[in-house]
Parts: sequence; structure tokens; C-alpha cells
Amino acid sequence: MPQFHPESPNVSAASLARLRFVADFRKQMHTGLSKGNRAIYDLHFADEHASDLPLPARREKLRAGLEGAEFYRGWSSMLRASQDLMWRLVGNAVDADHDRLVGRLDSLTPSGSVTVNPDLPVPPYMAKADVHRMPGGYMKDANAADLRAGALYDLGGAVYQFGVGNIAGGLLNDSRGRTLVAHLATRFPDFSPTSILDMGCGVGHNTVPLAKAFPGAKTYGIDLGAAQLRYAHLRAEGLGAKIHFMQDNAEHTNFPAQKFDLVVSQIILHETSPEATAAIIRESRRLLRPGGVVVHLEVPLRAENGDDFYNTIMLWEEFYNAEPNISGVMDMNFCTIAQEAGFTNVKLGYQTIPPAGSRESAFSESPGTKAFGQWLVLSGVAA
Amino acid sequence: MNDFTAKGETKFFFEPKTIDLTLAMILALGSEISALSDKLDTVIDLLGSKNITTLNDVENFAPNPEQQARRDAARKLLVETLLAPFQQEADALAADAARKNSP
Repeated sequence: MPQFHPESPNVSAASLARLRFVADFRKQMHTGLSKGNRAIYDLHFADEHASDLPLPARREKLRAGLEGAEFYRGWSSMLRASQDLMWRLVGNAVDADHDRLVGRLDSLTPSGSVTVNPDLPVPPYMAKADVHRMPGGYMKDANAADLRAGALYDLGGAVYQFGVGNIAGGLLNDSRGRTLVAHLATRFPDFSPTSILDMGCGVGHNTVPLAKAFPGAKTYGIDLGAAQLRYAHLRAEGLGAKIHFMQDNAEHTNFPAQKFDLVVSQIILHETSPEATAAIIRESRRLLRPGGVVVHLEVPLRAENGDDFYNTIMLWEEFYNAEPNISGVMDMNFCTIAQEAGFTNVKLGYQTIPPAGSRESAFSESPGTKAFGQWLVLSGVAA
Repeated sequence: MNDFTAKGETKFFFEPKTIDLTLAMILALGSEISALSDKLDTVIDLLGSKNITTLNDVENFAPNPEQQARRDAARKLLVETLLAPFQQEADALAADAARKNSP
């Protein structure tokens, strides 16, 4: 497999062939076969679903109904099996290359840094399940040189992009960061931050485009997982981005108040919990200087974007893929929470993914039309 | 085709028994893949012994765009073939739904 960034894991031809098969299999599940699920809804549930029940109850009822349909069960069983197979194959590839990656990290002359905190408590939402069923989860850390969780997430994310175009930014998986930069250019065209924090940065997929967009700023990325951050450091150095990675909890960081003029998060809220989400939004306010800008970017899974079937099938990952709080978080009233946290000029809307190399794309507060051609953004200014 | 059915009661552990049958199919597929892998390894070793190519050449081979496109098409066909029984179910369900929704 060709390098997809200068420090990406080496993947043998045989591993790549297996991963390509899994990616094509998943693609066919989501394209050719998924119409069977919609048909089950149209045939058996669409009429009775025009009921007065609140949305969460309607979704739960429809989920139970779908699970009664043999086609849906078979489809779900295969999709889950393909997810588990992908992690097994990615794990084999990463394990075969891990020592080399550790050597690369040791040989760096870095411009940025990485600081881990082995005593950082595991938040309850991380203790419950390994998100995306990634074995070991985000926080597994075997020793002070461990890169495995980061390499797993990076390679798994790349496999997700095989053959699906530029939805998430190709193999660099950076469309969120590029969309966030476009959102800043849309809403705050004269804003030029000098200190940036990316909360829940993972392997830095979307911290790198942010750091590159504002080369004069000092950019920090925090995450719960030490192995994620070591790998993020290696990856960012390879891509020529100067970033300081620190192991910290976005709900209550160790940074002093008003340290930053731009604080962002990128698709982490729905992987936490409603309580943690509110805490993270409050913490982003504490960390901003008055006049500073916040952007929390999320998956566009809002009820306003589709009918009951859409709103239920979009929670497949919540039901079966270890992301138990997607709807709990995505149903929240983000604008009210942000205003109560002390933000003004708050907007919630949909920013279209810009073309590569561009900072220009459309922003709309109307419901989105393309589930994965745009990202949901909550932005505002610290009062 | 030879009859491989054994006399006596066949115990199925799962309900529906299709699950038992599917597990058996996967096992059979595994043995075929193992045989295929051995055979390919034999070909590589034979080519190596005649100084034509080596395992290293095979591992590091990078297909050109035309070759890659041929592989991609073959893999797509394999996926579609494997999923064909489920695809037929999806097509039939969608046709039923279209009939119901058309006035």
C-alpha cells in the first residue's frame, strides 16, 4: 500500500488486498443492499409511524420493528461482522509494523511536542465501550512507546475512505478540519487566531489542516488517549505541522482560563455523553479570551434532516457499533447550551465540505440535504 | 455428486438451523482459501527456483493503473456475487414497496 502520509503504517500487498475486499463489501452493503431496509419501512411501518409519539419513542419503536425483519437482521449481522473483520485485519497490519513506527518516533527532531499523563482518569463514557468496536478503544496504552491505538484509528479511518471519494477527506481523513477553516472564513473572515486548541484531537486528522491554515498561531491538541497522541505527534511531524499534543480531558482541562482565541472540537461530542458535551462547551468558554471564537463541528445527524426511517437507520452505529450516546447528544439544544455557557452571536448550521485547497464553501442554517457532504457546526463568540 | 450425508440424527445447535449451515460454509471456504494460498506459494517457489521471480518481487509488485482497474473490477464482481442472494431480497422488497407507494 502506498504511504498515505509520510509516517503512515506500512501495509503488505496481502493485507491491502484483504482490506480492499472489506471496504468494497461495506460499500455494497450501503449502496446496493440498503434499499431493502427502506422498503421494509415503507411496507410495514411508514403509515403507522405518523403518530404523536415523541421522536425518541418513535425511533425505538421502529428499531424494534426493523429487528423483527429478517432482511434487516441479516444485513446488520454482516455489516457488524465486516466492521470486526476490518479491525482484525488493520490490527494485524499495524502489529507487523509497530516496531518500525516506534523507531520513527524515536528518531524525530520535532518542531512540536507530545506530553502524556498516565494518571488521567478514564471518563465513564469511555469505560463503557470501545467506540466503533475498535479493540482496546481510544485509551489503551500498553507502555510509554505504544502507538497502536493511534495507528489502528488512522489506518481504519483510511480504509473507510477506500472508494468513497472525498467524503471525509480522502486517506488523510481531514475534511472536518478543512470544513472548519472554511466555516471560519465564512463567518469570521477577518479572524486570525494566535493560539488554537483542538479538543479531542485523536491522531490529529483535523488538527493538521487547522495548524496549516494559521501558521502564525500556536496550536495545541488534547485527547484522552496517550497512544493516539504519540502517533498524532509522529504523523503531524511527517506532514510538517507544528502542533503540541497533550493528554487531557476536554471537560476540565489543565489549561488556565482565557489561554486561547480559537477553541474547536471535531466530531467528538457524539462519542461522549450529554453531560460531558455540556461540560465541554462550558470548558471551551472558560478557555477563550473575550472575543475569542468557538467552533464545535459534528456529524449532521439532526432529526430535522430526514424522516423517521432516516433518523433511525442513522443510529445503526448507536445500536450496534459502540457509540451509545449519538442520539442523546445530537438531539440536544446546542444553541441554548452555548448561550448559557456565555457565548454570543451563536449559530448552528451546515457547512459544505470545501474542495481540496479551498477555504470557500456554503454555510446554511436550514436543514441539510446531503448527509455526508456537509458537517454540522455550532459557532459563536466568547462574551 | 457423492453423497456425504451421514446416517443417524444430525444435531443442529442453532435456531434457525441456517446458522449451523452458514458456519459449515465458512469452514469450507477457509479450506479452499488455504489450498489456494498453498498453490500460489508453490507457483512462486517454482518461479524462484527457475530465477524468474521471487517472493519479494511478488510482495513488492505495484500494479499499473490498468492492472489495478482490472483487479478492482474483479473484486467488485466478487462482492456482488457473494452478496447476490441478499441483493435479490433487497430488490424484491424495494419492488414491493414501489408497488405499495404507486397510486
